[in-house]
Amino acid sequence: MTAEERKNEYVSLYNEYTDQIFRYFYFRVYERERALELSQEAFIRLWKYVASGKEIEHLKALLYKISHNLAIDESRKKKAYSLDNLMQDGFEIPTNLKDERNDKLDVMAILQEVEGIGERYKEVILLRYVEGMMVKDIAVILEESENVISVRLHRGIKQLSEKFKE
Amino acid sequence: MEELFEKFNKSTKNIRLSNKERDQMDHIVTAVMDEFPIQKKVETKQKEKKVKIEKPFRFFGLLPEKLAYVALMFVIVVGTGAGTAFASGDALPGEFLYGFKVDVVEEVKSKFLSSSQAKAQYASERVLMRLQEIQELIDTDVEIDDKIIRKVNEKVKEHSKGVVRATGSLQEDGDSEAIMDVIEDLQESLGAYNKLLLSLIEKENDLRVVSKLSDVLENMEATEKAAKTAQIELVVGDDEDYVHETEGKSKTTTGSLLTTGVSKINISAPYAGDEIMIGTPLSVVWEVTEEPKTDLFIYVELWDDEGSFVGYMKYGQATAREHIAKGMVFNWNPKYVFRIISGQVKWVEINPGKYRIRISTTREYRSKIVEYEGETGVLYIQRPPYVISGNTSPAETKIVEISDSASSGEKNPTEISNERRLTISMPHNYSRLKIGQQSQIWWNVNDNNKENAPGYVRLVNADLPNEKRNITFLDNLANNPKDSNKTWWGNGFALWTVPNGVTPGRYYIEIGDRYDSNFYARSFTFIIYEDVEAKVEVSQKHIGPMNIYVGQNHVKIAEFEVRTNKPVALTNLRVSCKSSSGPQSFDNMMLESSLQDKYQTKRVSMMYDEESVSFTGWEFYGDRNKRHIIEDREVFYVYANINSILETSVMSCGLWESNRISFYDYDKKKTISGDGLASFNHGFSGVFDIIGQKSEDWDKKTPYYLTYEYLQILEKIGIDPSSMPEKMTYPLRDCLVGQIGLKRYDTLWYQRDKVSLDDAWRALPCAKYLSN
Repeated sequence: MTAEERKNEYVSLYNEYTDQIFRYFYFRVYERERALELSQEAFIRLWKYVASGKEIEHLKALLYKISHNLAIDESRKKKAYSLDNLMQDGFEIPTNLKDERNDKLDVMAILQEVEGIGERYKEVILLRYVEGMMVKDIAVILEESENVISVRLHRGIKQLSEKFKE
Repeated sequence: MEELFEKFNKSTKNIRLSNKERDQMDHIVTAVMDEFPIQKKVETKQKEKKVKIEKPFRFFGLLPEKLAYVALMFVIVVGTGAGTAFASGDALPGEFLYGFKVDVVEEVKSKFLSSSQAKAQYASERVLMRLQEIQELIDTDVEIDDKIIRKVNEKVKEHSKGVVRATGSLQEDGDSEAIMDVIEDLQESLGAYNKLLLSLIEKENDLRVVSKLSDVLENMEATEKAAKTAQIELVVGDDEDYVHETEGKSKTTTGSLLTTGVSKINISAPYAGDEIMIGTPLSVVWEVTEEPKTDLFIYVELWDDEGSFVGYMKYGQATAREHIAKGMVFNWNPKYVFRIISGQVKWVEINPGKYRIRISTTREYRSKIVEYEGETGVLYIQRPPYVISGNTSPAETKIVEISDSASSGEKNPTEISNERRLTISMPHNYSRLKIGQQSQIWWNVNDNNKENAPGYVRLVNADLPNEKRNITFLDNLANNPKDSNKTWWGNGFALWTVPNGVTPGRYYIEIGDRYDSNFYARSFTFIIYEDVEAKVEVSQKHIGPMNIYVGQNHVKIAEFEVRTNKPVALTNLRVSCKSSSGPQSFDNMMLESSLQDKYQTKRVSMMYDEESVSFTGWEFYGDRNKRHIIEDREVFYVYANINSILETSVMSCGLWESNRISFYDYDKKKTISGDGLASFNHGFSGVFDIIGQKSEDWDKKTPYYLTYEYLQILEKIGIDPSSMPEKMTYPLRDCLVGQIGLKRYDTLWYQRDKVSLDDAWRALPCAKYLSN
């Protein structure tokens, strides 16, 4: 791949995935500003990797991998991110759906519960349902087999359903 | 459930960047893309080159991601005043400004470092700085309490973490060489630690503190291990199956460790018979007998006397073959070695005993064919507290031996007994004594038995293997401990003359009890030298081309290195410049040395045109006692202030005529210059374009506080001005506004009011927005 092609690939990925990556971090730090900073960092790191001339098999997967690592670092750095912060900051999910209030409550409920389940399950659930990613892609990012991801998804959802039943 | 998620997914899709946020991000990401263009091929990482002057002019292309640093720097540099930052540079633990120096100035500086390598190196430098601070406290006789040690230890721990973190990034980048540099720095810290212990031991009052310092050591060693592991892992990769030919090998019948039977590597240090102290850094010096044809993969191994492989001391690559031919130095902390077991690095503690070192090289990693190899004779690795029990003496005696640890000259006492003790405090560590010169020996003997046993004094050559060490008994001493009529207990000193006929080299003095061979002590290692002709080499480095603005201060116009075989004084220096526009002049010039001496000159004459090319940059004919002495090697930088009335022109500067640089040899009472110099690599060091006044554009884009004065300040406190951003970021601005109030912020920022100390302290919590 020529330098120009690499650059174009990066730029189109950047244009397409800025919001997704922002969201990815947003649901981990629950702080808009920090999420923005982390997204910037993720794209900068990705670029530096691209610019280094190293061979990249799957650019999008690398972006998520970098983001994943950043999120882990961040959670080690600061444990204080919580839904409480989110509420305090005035968490608003604008929605065009008809029954706005109910939806919002549902969403909050899910978030609350997702927070409560194990980190490994939370990760796959957020990737699957917030990012809308396929199991195959999640497997590449988390460097696990597709089977492992499916099992985690299944278990995570089972845990969540049980919590909702309670 | 799925339905719920779907709904959730739909609503979360609305969480996205606002236009403003997106603009901000676009700005930053595109700037990064411009700053780091795609490389054509993967190249080995080059070391960061620090160019001091060129960069301020690259402000326009600055990384906006670093914009956030500005405000804090502004507060620190302008607000607390450069004075504070300067003053704090020398602050020691327990002093008022110490916290400011460690937590603010150094912290900010570290935030300004962009590469992982620079970060790792700075963090390891900081470990060393902390140790040197305690050393300074001890040297100035300040009492050191637990609190200080605790504080220092805390910091060392923090810095160590920084080293490990940055090393991790280097590992990710695959930069093995950079990690090696970091390991070297840490070795230096271990050396400083040993020196520190010694000073503490010498002051008995501080013995209590010694034990507390062990945590510091643990932190340093753990860091070193982590860094080394990272480096080895890089080399080993994931090739679990590969086993180097050495692993599991046993001695051949010939007693040699060489597999090829031919020694093509000479190991010049350590020598056979050397005593090596566990924990005292040691240099392994070696060279190959012929210049290798390719880069080499190098294994430095430790074998025991029985001929079994113990572990590796080094496992890595030398990419520059000319270096290998010139000789390699590898610093090792003789405490542990490592083995690689199924791709994992395992650390093995070294027990005292007899060992040998083998060095082997292969052309390629994973190759079984040994290219060159070499081995040492038997070495003695010993544990330091080197405690000797004197069973033959009247009382149970225990002494601390102050030992010359063969390689570094550091002493290693770590345990003190109240019973019988002998220390030698002079000659000083690595002091230089000329043959024929009169000198002093100072010692302290402490013996509860109060027996006035006569002692002996001898001079031992430390450069030779143990069994061959030349021993000269010193008889012509005044107040000689050998004299049985006189008591030599308590504090004592003797005068002696360095005997004629001894071979120049490293020596130590040994004093002991004539009747009790177990009771003796060694002095520091010192150097005996012969009165030889000075051989001075001057080599100038190339700098530039670069742009210089009129009115710019502290512009480096020349850089040169002086190497000498004996101490000489720099007596005169002339830097010549020529300018394309005819006679011009600089405001002021300054000479700075790498060892931090500064000489300012006020006398700078005019520069002339091509016909009479020169002006005197720096002259020194003053008081002889104040002359600058160059011990063995020193780098000098010549800086100038560019006069604000200077015309636009092209200028070249440098050391030009060899008779305009001179050195004075005090022993021979002789000035060396011109033909007397061993070598003089001269010429114009660089070409500078003086490009006139700052433009309006410049004013618009450069923060007003970044005048050249401030740039100078930044350089002084070690911050690369090129990393200074030009604007404020939102998070930082918000934080500052929150801390000092909007009104005050506006006054400071827009009306350029002077920042007060109060502003500065309030703004400090905003430092968290400085992270990269």
